[in-house]
Amino acid sequence: MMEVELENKPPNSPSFWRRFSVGTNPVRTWYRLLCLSILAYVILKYLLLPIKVTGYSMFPTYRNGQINYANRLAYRWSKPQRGDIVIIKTTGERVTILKRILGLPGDRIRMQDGKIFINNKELNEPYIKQNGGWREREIELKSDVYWAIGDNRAISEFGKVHASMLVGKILF
Amino acid sequence: MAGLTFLGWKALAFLFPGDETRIRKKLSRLESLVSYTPNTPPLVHLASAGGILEMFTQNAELSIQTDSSTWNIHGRNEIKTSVLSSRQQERAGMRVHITDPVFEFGKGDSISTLATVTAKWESNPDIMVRILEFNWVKGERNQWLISSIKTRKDLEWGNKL
Repeated sequence: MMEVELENKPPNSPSFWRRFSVGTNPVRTWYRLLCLSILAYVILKYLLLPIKVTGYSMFPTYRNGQINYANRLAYRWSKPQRGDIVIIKTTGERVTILKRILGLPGDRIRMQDGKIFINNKELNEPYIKQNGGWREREIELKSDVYWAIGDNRAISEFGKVHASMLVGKILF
Repeated sequence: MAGLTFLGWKALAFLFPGDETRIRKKLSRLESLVSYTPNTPPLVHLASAGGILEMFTQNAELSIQTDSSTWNIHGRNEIKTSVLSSRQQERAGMRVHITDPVFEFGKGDSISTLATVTAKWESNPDIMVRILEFNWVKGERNQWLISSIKTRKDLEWGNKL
């Protein structure tokens, strides 16, 4: 009878670099990667829009170069409130505009020597450094129409925004 | 078979592009011609101005609002003068991006395109954002040419207000 001597070899263990790149179980790693990619896509497409602030129209609240996110679901179940900082889309979402909502649907709004009057009552704005001295005749906002302006009144534009143009509310 | 059909369809689209594709290409060409870097030689400015002119009709009209003023320009000659003089004044360079074009097909040979245009000057950290309406008409050899450019108010450009 022949005796077979079995080699006492340790089981094949993957090299450090292989474990580092694809883990001990590559199939499971790829599956995890796929799940993470889908999750990232869903988050960025439907929940958060990453933005980079460019320029000084929202100074001093937001500075040039700051990174932030827009919460896309902020106005799904509630309406924008006065003072909300919102992301407004242009012809698409590759370039968006960051402004503060001050006028709500139905409001009568005017600017006098840089001060903002809503329904004939002056608005207290502790977040601005200088009021810019703007003068604008009174307008009345229709339903679903808001009025937005930047915090840096020296350079910021302002105007009416339809609710459909709001991408979301800034996260922080 | 499905792959071949897809490839064939792509090849056809490449060889015979539709009006929208042709205008998109024109917009990217305009984007690159309008942008310039600091210390660009005068001859390159001249060549760019020539390239820009070729994209407009003879009596094209431009009405573009900047932060401080409105440019009202009529005809190719004025376009050329404005391009060259603005580059002379602002030598530090400018980068222009034309993004998210929205097409409105008119009757006959006319198309209107709304696009977000951003301009950033090297000397200024601020950025100018405008919604511009480009009106296109078909010129000689079926080429799309810009007949006018107008500014739509950024926050109110939609017609739902």
